[in-house]
Amino acid sequence: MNLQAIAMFLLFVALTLGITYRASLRTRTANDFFTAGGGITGMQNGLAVAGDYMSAATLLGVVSLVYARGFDGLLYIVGFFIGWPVMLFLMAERLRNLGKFTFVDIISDRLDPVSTRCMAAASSLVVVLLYLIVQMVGAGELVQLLFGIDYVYAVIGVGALMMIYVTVGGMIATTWVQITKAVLLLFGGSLLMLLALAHFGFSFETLAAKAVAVHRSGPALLAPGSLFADPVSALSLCVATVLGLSGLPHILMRFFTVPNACEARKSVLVASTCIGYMFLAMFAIGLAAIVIVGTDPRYFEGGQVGGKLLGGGNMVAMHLASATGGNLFLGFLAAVAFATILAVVSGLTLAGASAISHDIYAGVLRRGTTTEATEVAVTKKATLAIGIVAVLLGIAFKGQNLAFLVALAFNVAASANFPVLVLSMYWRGLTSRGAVWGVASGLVSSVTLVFLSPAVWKNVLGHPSAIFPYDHPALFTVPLAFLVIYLCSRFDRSARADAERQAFDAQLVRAQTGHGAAAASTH
Amino acid sequence: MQASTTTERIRRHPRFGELVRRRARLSRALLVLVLAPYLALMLAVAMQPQRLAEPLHPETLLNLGIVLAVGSVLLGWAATWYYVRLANGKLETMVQQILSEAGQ
Repeated sequence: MNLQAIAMFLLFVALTLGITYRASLRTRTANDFFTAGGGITGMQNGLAVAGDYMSAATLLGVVSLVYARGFDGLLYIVGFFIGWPVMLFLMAERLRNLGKFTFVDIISDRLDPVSTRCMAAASSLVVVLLYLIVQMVGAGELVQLLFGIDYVYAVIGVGALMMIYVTVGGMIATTWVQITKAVLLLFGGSLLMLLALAHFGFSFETLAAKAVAVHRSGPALLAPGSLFADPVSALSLCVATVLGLSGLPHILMRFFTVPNACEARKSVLVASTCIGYMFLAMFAIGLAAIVIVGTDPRYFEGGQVGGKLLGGGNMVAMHLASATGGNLFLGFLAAVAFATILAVVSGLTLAGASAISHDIYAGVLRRGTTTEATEVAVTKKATLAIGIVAVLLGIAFKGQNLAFLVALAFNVAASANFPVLVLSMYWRGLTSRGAVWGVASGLVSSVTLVFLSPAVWKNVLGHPSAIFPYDHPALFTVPLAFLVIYLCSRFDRSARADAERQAFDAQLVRAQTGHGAAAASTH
Repeated sequence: MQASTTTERIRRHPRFGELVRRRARLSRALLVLVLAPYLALMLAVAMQPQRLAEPLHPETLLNLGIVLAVGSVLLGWAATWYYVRLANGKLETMVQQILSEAGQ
């Protein structure tokens, strides 16, 4: 039991519940509930976006990856960063100008609302659920380790808190929880980096020399290793991470919370500043951990240096916090990590619940005849449902190695969501038939190939060798989705398809100038 | 589909086409600027790892790989900054001008 950690964590919970209560007073319309009334500034949204992207799995995982693999960890970081400028150049302002509550709004804007919404909402739910499982399992393990609370109770606790944030406070509460957490994370991460680098006189040379001297790879630590050695699998990972970002529903949804395209762009600048800085800091933190944690028997099971780390491979950053700042700092960082999980889970749940209520219930089942008040009520019920499903899945997947789920989420986002979204913004020729078949082919092909990949077929299901040789199928499935969309749209000669193509002109005006875009409500 | 006549006036505004072209050119140039070095780096990692591993000079452990990887992040950030500056500055002025002229 770490009393400092529990105290700091309870403080965070109290603070965020206060935020949620205040947010509930300001949430009156559906617009408030789904998009905080478009009243979030670029700076605030930038922090919230950074918060959504830097989950506890990212924070702990990247540091551990650098700790284990050095330079390969840095390459991983670059891939997860490069998605941001790409999203900005391709879609940030168009998202704001064309979207309303979910990214599916943009796809169905000039296309058949029923079939396209149905398909795109399904694929966004798949991405959200995959991501949620990872977060729930991570939360359970972290809480069990740091606070000594049983795994099942920890998962239920996370689920319950998240349901309160989302149902009571909607997007306003979710955003402010995310901002609070992002600031704490930036502060905690910076402090960890400074404390760690102080051991090396803030010199890269000293740090690198010591890390190379004690790491089992020796000088190869700072050279390309085995992770990206195969060009096809490396390129496929690049495609998945870079394009997958622009298909993550909970990230895309954040762009509807700002008042206009200028603020949307500003939020990407703020977010990528925070993310780039944190990622590079994690590289330094990981290298420092090689020297500080990697040579200290206190952090290994049975005191065997080089053996198994206490609490598993993901705990490197936590051990470093305890080594450099004692129990108090460990408690603080543990509270931040848990806060991170709570905030990311809330954002994911809101994205999933709005896909159910706004896209499937209001758009498909009621064909747009429902009122916004009913839509919000359905969202709250959907939130409870997703919360319960997430808790059950979290318990069911206890103890599994879930790295492949993150890979799967990014591959599905890149293969199913990204192609249709980008073409709906840029290509006049896109038709409903193309969109529906495009999403379907991206979704089915990426899920199937990950299932047949070494990560699942061999490591999870225990077959001797995998049917599909690469862990990331995006290099094949993204072009496939584009091709299917192109062919199905091209050979769609129906009258509806003609009307859809003609509607592109009006859409382009809105995309470029924001004329007719969903307006921000004033508070 | 003529959703509104203002939309049609904006679309026919002489500077609207210019706006679309300038924005597309900017996005395309910056996409290449950010993605080309990144893809080159990843291909170099797969094909020529030993060249990335050599220290820049004998007294340092810093190698080309680390410089290029950190450089890609910094370049991505700089391109982001430049795009936001231009799109929220010159291009946004153009948007406002088109909107006000077409609104009358």
